[in-house]
Amino acid sequence: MTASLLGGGAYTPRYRIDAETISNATGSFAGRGIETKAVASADEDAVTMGVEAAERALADAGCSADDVGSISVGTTTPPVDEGDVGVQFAEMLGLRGTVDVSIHTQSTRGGTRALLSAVRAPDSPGLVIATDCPKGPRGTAIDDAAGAGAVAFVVGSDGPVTLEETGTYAREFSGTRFRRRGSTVTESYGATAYERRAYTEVSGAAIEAMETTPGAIAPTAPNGSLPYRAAGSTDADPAVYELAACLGDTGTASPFFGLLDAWAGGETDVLVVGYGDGSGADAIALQGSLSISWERETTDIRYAEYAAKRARPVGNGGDP
Amino acid sequence: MGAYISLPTWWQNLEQRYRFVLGECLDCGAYNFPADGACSVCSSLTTFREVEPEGTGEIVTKTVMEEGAPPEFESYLQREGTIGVVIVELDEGVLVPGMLTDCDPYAPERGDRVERTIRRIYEQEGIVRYGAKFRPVVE
Repeated sequence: MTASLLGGGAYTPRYRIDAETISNATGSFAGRGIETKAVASADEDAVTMGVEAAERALADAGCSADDVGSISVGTTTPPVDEGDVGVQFAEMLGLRGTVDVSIHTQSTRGGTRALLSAVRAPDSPGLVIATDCPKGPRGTAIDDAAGAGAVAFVVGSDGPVTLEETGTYAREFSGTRFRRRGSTVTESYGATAYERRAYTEVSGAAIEAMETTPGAIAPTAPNGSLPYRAAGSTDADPAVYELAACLGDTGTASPFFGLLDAWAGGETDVLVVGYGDGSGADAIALQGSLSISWERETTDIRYAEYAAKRARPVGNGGDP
Repeated sequence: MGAYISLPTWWQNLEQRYRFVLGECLDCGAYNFPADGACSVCSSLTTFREVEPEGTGEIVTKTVMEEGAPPEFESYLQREGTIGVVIVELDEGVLVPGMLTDCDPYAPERGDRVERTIRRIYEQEGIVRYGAKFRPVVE
């Protein structure tokens, strides 16, 4: 049986802020390759965005909640450090109590981990959700790049997109991107060359582990610049797809947003490369395509509104 | 002063809070929300059959709060500036209360179509309470 994607759905919050607005208000903008980004409302988080994407994916696949055999969630920004958020997804979506629940966190490759988990789950179809809304210390590259969004897929057999091959690679590069216990902000050690090396070496090794040479790749996109370095790490010179330039860093969901962009661009052979700092990477070769829109009605916001939505009211000094 | 709801009490109605799960009266077929006690139409003390509604309906009435929110909603009000509150008649014919989201709360009017979605309602004692909210249907 060949695993395949039966349908999918995407969600991004309504609000948008562009790099220039942030730069004008703060004097700088350090999110490389980011032009505009999505901003979650005060009543949104990784759970609510993920549920939105999941409901769309189930509708797209023509799958009812009662049919779902497994649910796999990938997020680096669960609302709690301990407490099974995956079960909350299952309850909100009205899934059966016997559904197999797993959550993949601590790494932005959690999205591809969740997809592989659904493929390997005994009960089909599986629901895969990648959702993130990262934050960093104010004024840092991580915080300026931080966006928000979620992508979900329904995995089963005999769907329009088949999973052809997978590869993986892991090597320790500590400190390139991490969140301390009890903290809501993601940090990095700040050694740029070391961080680039971690990304290119580990992503590149996962790509090299594949038998097939990719024509198009959709890599994890912490910003709008790094994904193109993933392409440079292979001899194949593939076309690179990312939506970080218009949504910001969507963490675990970012390689899947790249996949949607690749499909919209007419690609039917796409290598999804999920990279997570620490560092590890998964490469998943997919053949076929789905038509999944991430476009929506949006509202541009001012910097003060942006700060308030992110729980950093300007009047209070805005920390953390 | 807000109306404090303990977590065990909140938990008892998760399906209603997340998806407005209705009760169909086995005697007269009317939908009830919440599915508790006697049927609101025929007063029968029968048990109810659970029904998942479509989650769509029309705004019956709306108000927008700019201040004076109950304490559990104060953080949301500070961050978003307003809270839109609506009574919605679901397509199954029952009235349910909810907050507006994903829109300028001043924009939707009585009779406008809305759909259910899930949002954070508030956070209390370190626990996020999630529940259904309404947003305008995009045609």
